[in-house]
Amino acid sequence: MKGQVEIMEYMVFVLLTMFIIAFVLFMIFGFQFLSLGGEQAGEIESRSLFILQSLLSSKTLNSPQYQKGSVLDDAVLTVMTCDDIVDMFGERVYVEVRTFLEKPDCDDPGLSSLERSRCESRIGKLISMENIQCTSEKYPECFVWRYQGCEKQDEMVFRSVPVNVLRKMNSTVAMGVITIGIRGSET
Amino acid sequence: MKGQTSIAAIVIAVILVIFLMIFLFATTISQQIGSDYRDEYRNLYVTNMLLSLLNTDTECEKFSDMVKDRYFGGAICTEEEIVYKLGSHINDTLKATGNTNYRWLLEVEPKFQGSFITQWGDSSVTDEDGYWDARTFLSSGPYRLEVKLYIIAD
Repeated sequence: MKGQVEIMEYMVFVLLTMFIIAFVLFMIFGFQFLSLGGEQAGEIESRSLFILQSLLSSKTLNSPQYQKGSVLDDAVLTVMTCDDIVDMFGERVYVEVRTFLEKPDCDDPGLSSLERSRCESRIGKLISMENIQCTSEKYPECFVWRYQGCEKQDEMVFRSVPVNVLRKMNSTVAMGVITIGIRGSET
Repeated sequence: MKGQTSIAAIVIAVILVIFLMIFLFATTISQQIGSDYRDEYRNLYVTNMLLSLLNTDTECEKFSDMVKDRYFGGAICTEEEIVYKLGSHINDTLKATGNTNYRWLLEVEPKFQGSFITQWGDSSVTDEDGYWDARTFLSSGPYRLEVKLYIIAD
């Protein structure tokens, strides 16, 4: 009986030792995985913030006549190329700027059904116009700036913030959004 | 032998607790790193939303002029136009940045006596926790208006 108890205790001891070894290994690898994930997430977040802030405060991109906020110059956005983006921030960076057109209020109770239907069709046209991409040929009747060679890629992390764009065609400031995309691991 | 097993069990338990604490500490730290940057991004987002909105021209007048005209006269846009244009611009921007299902409040607080606070949007936003906010000032002569924007996720 005594011998059996000793064997049982010995087995419990061996099992506990094996368990602790497995647990320690799990903790070490888990810790490494977490710190790597945390560092990588932190790097992506800090880099995307840096790129956004650099673009928003860039003296080249911004119109000098506005002191408060970022008012990007549509002509500069049009002549900018992917090479300029690569020079500033390195490869695998996606940049897109889009502006919105002002839409009429079709829910105005004073509108007749015919006027409402015309209003809704006008909104549809405005929304499709908002997708016209800017090139030197289409400028200034265009509303989205993307750069050939700096396209969207899989596994990119995207960040967007509101921004103003100075539309030189009618000297007005339009509301828009600037979006950047970066890849974390290879940069 | 029985005593040895008990001591070994205690040592194992202590080691387990120590490793567990280290693991929890590391998890908290790694989450904190991400959360600091997220806060910075939110501040940038909401500040830019407010400043961009005020700078934007509309068919009747610039948003910052709409706000000033409410206190100093000379309004061109009607109240209905202001409400519609604010909603349209803010909602378009939120949608384009992937932030759907958000509510917002634009509040104007004059920094001079004998005036009133103006609110556009959902006034219940400030009653809840977790909103993003930004503020700026508009001036007209010696008078100052504090303009605040609050955004909250549903």
